[in-house]
Amino acid sequence: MNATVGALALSPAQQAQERSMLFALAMDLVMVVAIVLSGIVGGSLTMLAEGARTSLGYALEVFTVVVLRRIHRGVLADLEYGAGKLEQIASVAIAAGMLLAAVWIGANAYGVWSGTRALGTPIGLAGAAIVGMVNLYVNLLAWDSVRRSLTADASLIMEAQLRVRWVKLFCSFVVSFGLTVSALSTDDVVVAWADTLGSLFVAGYMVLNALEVMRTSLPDLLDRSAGAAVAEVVRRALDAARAGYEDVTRLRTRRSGRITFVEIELAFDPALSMAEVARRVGALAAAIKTELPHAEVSVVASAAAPMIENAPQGAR
Amino acid sequence: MALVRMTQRRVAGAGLAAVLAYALWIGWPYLESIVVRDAAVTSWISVTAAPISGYTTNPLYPGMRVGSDGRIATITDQRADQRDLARTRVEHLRAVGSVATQEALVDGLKRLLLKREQNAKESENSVDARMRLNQAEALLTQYRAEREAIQAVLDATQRAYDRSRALDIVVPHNAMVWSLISGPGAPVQAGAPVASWVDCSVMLVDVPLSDVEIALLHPGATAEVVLEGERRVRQGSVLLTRGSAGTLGSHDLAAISRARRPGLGQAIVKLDPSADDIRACPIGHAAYVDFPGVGIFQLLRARLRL
Repeated sequence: MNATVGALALSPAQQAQERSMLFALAMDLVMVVAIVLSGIVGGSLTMLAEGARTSLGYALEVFTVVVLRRIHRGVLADLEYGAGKLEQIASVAIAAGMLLAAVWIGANAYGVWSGTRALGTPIGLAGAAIVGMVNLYVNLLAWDSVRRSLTADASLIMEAQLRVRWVKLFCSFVVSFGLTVSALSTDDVVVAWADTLGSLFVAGYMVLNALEVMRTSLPDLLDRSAGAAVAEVVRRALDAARAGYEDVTRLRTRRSGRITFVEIELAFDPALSMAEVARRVGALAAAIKTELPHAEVSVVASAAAPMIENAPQGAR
Repeated sequence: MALVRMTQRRVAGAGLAAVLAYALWIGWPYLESIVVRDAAVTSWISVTAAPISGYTTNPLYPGMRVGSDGRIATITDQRADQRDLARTRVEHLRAVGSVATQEALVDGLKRLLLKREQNAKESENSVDARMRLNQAEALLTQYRAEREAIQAVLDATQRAYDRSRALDIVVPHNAMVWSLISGPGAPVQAGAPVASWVDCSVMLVDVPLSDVEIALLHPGATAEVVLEGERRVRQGSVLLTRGSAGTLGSHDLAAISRARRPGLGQAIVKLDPSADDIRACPIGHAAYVDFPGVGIFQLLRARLRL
C-alpha cells in the first residue's frame, strides 16, 4: 500500500484542496472544542446539544477529508464506482448519532424540569453565551462569504449552500439568544426555560437534519431508483434519440453520493456499423449529461434481431 | 439592510467588535468580582440615645474626640415638672413645723415639772406633769423621725429634678463623634438617638465579595490590605463573613463599601491599627483587599462547582 501511496504524486490542485480543507478542519476543531467544553464545564444544556450537533457534523467532515486524501493517494482505487456509498454509510451512522443525541437532550431537558438535573452555573452559562456568540459570528462570516460569491447565474448548489448557511446562521442566533437570557437571568425558572428551549431547538434541528440524511441516503444504499426526476431526464433524452435505436430493452438508475448511475440497454439495427452505434450512444450519453452533470451513463448496445449470437456488446 | 451594503472586511470587523463587546458585557461582573475589590475602612458604629426628654445642649460635633469626662452631649429641660419637688417641700416644711411645735411643748412641760417639783405639797400634780412630758417627748421623737424621712425624700426628689433639668450623655474616652443626629437646641424624647460615635482603635475593612468567595473564606483567614494612597501592605485577618442575604449595613458599620449592592456578600477584615492610625482614624477610606488563600483557580473551580 505504501508503495502505491508513494507512487502517486499529488497535483498542485489536489494539494491546495487538501490544505484548504485541513485548515477549515483545524478552525472548526477550535470551535467544536470550545462549544463542547463550555457545555460540559458550564453545564449549559443548550451548549451540550450544540456540542453534540457540531461534533457529529465535524466527524462527518473529518471522514470526508480522510476519504478525499485516500482517493488522492490511490488508496481507495478499488472503489471503482466511487466513494459515494462509503460517504453515505458514514452519513447514515452520523444521522443515527444525531437522533440518539436528540433523544439524550430531550431526556436531559425533562431532567431539568423534574429537578434531577442541576442548572448550569452562572459563570458557566456566561461562558457558554460568549462561545455561542463567537459561533454566531463565525456563521455570519460564512454566510456573508457565500452570499458575496453568488452571481446572477449562480448554480443551484451555491443557492442551496447559501440557504444552508442562512439556516445555520438563524439557528446559531436562536441558540445565542437563549444562552444570553440564561446568562443574564438570576431567576432559576427563567434559566431553566431558556436553557431547555434552546436545547430542544437544537435537538429539533438535529432530528430534521438526521431525517433528511436518512431520506436521501438510505434509498441510495438500498440501490433504489434515482427518482422520477432522473427517469424523466433519461426518458426525454431517449425520446429525442428515438430514431437512432430500435428498442429499449433495459433501463435502470441508482445513486451513490453525488453521482447518478444510469444504465441503458438499447437494441440497434444489426446492419449498423459499430462506429455508427458508438456515435449514437455517445450522442445519447451527452444529451443526458447535459441535464445531469454528475451522471455516469452506461449504454449497452445489442442487435435488434434475436438470431444474432454475438450480442450484446458494451459501449460507452 | 446595512449589512448587505457593507464590505466583507467591514462586516468581519464590526462583527468582531460586537463579539468583544458582548463578551465584555456578559463576563464583566465575574471579572470585576475577581479583579476589583472596592473595600472600605470602617469600624463598629454606636448610637447614643437621650436618657431623658429635653433639648440637646453643647454637643460635640462630628470628627471631635470625646474628652476624659466622656461627655458627648447634655440634655437639658428648663421646663421640667416641679410639682413632685414642691409637694415634697411642703411635706418637709410641715414636718419641720411639727417638730418645732412639739419641741416647744416639751420645753414648756419640762419647766412646769421643774416648778412643781420645787413645791413638794403639790406632788400629785407633778406626777401628772411628768406623764404629759413623757408623752410629749415620745411624740417629738416620732416627729423628728418623720422629718428625717421626708428630708431624705426631699433630697431624692431634688436630685431627680436636677437630673431632669440637665443630664450628660457619656461615651468612652477618646471616641470620635461620627455623626450628630440631634443638633444643638433640638428637642428629643427619652430614647431618641442623639449622636453616633466610633472607636478608632477598632479598625475594620468592609470587603464586598461574591457568595462563592465568601464560601471559600473562614474567620481568621489572612488578608492583605492596601489603603488608598498608601503603598505598604497591611496584614489583616477575616473577622466574620456574611452571605449576600444578610450583610451588615450602616446600623452596624460606620462606613460601607461603595461597591455594596444586592447580591454581594461581605467579609469584615480586622486590622491592628498603629497609634497614627488611631489618631488619623481613616474610616471611609477606600482599600484594596486580597485574600492569598483564595486564588482565581479556586474561585473558578468553586464557581463551576468542580
